Amino acid sequence: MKKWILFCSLLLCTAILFGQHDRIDRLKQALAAATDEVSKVNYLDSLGDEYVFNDPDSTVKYSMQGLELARKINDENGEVQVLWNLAFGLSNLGNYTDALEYYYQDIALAGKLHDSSRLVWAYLALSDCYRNQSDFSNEFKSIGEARRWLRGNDPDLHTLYDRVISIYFVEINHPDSALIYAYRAMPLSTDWIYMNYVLGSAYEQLGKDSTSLSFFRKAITLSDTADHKNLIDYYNAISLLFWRQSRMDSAIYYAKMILGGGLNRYYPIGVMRASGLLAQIYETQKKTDSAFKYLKLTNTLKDSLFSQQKTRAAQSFAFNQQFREQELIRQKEQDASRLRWYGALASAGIILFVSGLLYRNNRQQKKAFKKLEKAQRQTERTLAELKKAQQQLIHSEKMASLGELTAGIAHEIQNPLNFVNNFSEVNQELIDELQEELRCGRLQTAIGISDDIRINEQKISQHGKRADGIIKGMLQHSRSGTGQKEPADINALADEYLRLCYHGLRAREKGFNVILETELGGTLPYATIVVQDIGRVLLNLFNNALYSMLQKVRKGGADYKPVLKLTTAMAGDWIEIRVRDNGSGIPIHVLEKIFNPFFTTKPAGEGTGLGLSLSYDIITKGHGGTIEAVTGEGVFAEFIIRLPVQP
Amino acid sequence: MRILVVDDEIDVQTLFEQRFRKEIRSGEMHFTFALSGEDALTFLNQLQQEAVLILSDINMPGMSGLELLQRIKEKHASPPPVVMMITAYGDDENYNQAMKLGADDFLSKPVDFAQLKDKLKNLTND
Repeated sequence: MKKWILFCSLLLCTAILFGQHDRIDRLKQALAAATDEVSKVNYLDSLGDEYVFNDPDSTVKYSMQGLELARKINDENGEVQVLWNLAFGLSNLGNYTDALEYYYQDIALAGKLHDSSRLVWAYLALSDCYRNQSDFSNEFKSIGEARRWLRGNDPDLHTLYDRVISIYFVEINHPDSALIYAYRAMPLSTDWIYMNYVLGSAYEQLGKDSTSLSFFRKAITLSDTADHKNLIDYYNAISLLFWRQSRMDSAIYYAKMILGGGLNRYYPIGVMRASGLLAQIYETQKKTDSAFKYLKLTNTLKDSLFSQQKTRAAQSFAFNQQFREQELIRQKEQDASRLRWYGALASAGIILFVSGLLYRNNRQQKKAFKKLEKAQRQTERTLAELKKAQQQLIHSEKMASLGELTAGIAHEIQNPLNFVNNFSEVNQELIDELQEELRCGRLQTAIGISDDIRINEQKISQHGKRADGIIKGMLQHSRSGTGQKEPADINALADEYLRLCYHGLRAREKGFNVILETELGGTLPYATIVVQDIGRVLLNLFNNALYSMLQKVRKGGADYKPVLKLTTAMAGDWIEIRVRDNGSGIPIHVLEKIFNPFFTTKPAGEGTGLGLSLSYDIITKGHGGTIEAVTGEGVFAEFIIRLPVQP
Repeated sequence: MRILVVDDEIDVQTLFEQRFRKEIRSGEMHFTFALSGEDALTFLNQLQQEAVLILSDINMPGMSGLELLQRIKEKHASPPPVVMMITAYGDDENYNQAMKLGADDFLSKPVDFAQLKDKLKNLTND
C-alpha cells in the first residue's frame, strides 16, 4: 500500500513531516544494523521507495540489491515488493524493456501468491509504463487486467483504478468519461494534484480553455519541484494549450521548463514531446538554428525509444508466454470462481474489442491527419507557385499595356505633329510668297497672305498644346498609384466632385441644365483610398456622363431632360458607387473597348482616350476594387465602382 | 482632278487648302472634304459626284477608314476610284488589310506633301 501512496503522492507533504534525508539516513542506519535478511530486504525496499520520484537510479540500485537478497533467502513477499519498485524505477528512467520484464515477473509472483491487490497495483503500474511509450493498446489491456483483479472494498485501490482509467480516457479523447472518473478519484486520491492535470486535459478536449488552463496552473503551482515526471506532463500540457492558442512566447516558456529546468534526465517521451513542439514553433517562426537543434533532439529521443520498443516487443512476447502459463495454473486453482471469471473475461473481451475499435479509429484519424497535413503542404506549395506566376502575369500585363501605350502615343502624337510640321512648312512657303508680293508692291495680296500665316500659326500652337496634353495625361497614367492611402468619406468626396464637374461644364455650356440626383448611403464606413486618384476617377465618370447627355441635347429632342444620378451604398463588404446618366449610352461593340488606353468616341482633339483606362487602373490595381459599365444604347449608361473598405 | 479628303480632324481641310493652294487656284485640282466615313458615303451617293481620288484617314470614330474603303470598292466598282489610305498607325496589320481591301496606296502621318504631290501627278500622267 505504501508504494502506491508513494506512486501517486506528493512527496513534499511527507518530506515536511519527517524530512526525506532524515528518513533515508535512518533507513540506511537500520539497514546496516539489521541482522536478519528479511528485515534487510524490507529496508532495501523502503529505500527504493524514498528515491522513486526524484532519483530513479538509486531506486533501481537498492531494489536490485533487495531482489537479489530476497531470492537468495526465498522471501517471496519481499520479492514481490522490490520487483514492483525495480520496474517502476526502470520505467521512470525510460528503460521500458527492463521495466516490462520486472513488471511481468512481479505479476507472475503476485499471481502465485494469490495477492489480488498486488496484481491490481502491478497492472495499473504496467498500464502507466505502456502509456509512457504511447502504447495505448497494451495500456488498455493492462487496465482491463487490473479491473479483473479489483475486488473487495479497498477504497485506495478503487480510487487508483479510477485515476488510471480517467487518464486513459483523456488519452483516447473521451473527455466526458474522463471527467466522471477523475472527479470520482480526486477527493480520495492521494495524488489529487495530478488529478488537476487530468481534469485540465479533459476540459481542454471539451474546448474549455480557460478552465483547462486554471487546472494546469494549479497542478504546476502545487506540485513538488522534485516530482519530475509529473511536472513534465503539466508543462507539456500547458505549453501545448498556449501553442494551440498561438501564444508562442508562453508555449516556448513552458516547453523550455522541461528542457532547461533540470528535468530532462528521465521520461524521454515527455521530453520528446516538448522538444518536438519547440522545433515546430521555431520552424514557423523561421528560427532555423533553434528549430534544427530541437528537431535533432527529438529525433535522437525517438530513435532511442524505437530501438527500445523493438527489443521490448521481442521480450514482452516471451514474458506474455510465461505469464499465460502462470495464469493457466492459477485458473486451475480457482475453479470455484470460474463462472465469474468467464463473465469478467467476456466483459474484458468486449472492452478490448471496443478499445481496439477506438484505437483503430484513433490510428485512422492520425493517418488522415497526416494525409491532410501533406495535402496542406502541397496546397501551400502550389499557392506559392501560383502567386509567383500571378506576379509574372501582372508584370507581363504591365509590359503589354506599355506596348499598347506606345502604339497609342504614336497615333495620338502623330496627328497633332502632322499639323505642326505641315502648317509650319506651309508658313515658310507663304512667307516666301509674302516677300515676293511686298517686293512687287501688291500690299492687298500681302495682307491676305499674312492673315493665312496668322491662322496657320494659331493651328501650330493649338496642336502643340494638344500634344502637350496627351503627354501630361500619359504621365498621370504612369504615375497612378504612388499617392498615400488615407481613410476618406466617399459620400463627401463624390458629392464634391459631382458639383465641381457640373459647374465647370455649365461655365462652358451655358443653358445646359442637368437634374442631379444623389442617393448617398447614410452609414457608409470610411474607405482607405488615395483621395486624388479616386477623385480623378469620379471626375472622369461625371465628365463622360455630362458629355454624353450634352450630345443627346444637341441632337435635339425637346422632351429630353438630362438626369445624372449618383448612388453610394454598401454591397456586402464593398462600398459601391454608381454613376448613371440617361444620355446616349454605349454601343455594344464599343463597350468592351472602353477601358483600353487611348480609346475614345469623342471627336479628335476632345479626348485623350486615357480617362477610363486610367480610372480602371486606379480602381483595380490601385485599390483592389472593380469597375464595370452597364448600358442601354441610346437610353442610359451606368458605371459601377466597388471599393473594399480596407484595400 | 476631283479629290475627296475624309478625315475627322477639321484642320485637315485648312491644311490641304493651304498645301494645294497653287493647284486649287489654277483649277488643276478640286477638293471636297468629309469629316466621317458616313459623310463621305452620303456625299458620293447623293451628289453623284465622281471623285477621282479619295484620301482617307483610317482611325475615325464611327465608320473607320477601312470600312469606308470596303464600301467604296464594293459599290463604286465602275469606274473604280483611286483610294489612298492615310494613317498615323504605320503598322503592317493596317497596311496589309488596306491593301487586301483594294487600297491603291498607303501613306503614313505626318503626311509628306511633296511626296503626295508627286503621287498625284503620276496619277494624272497615267
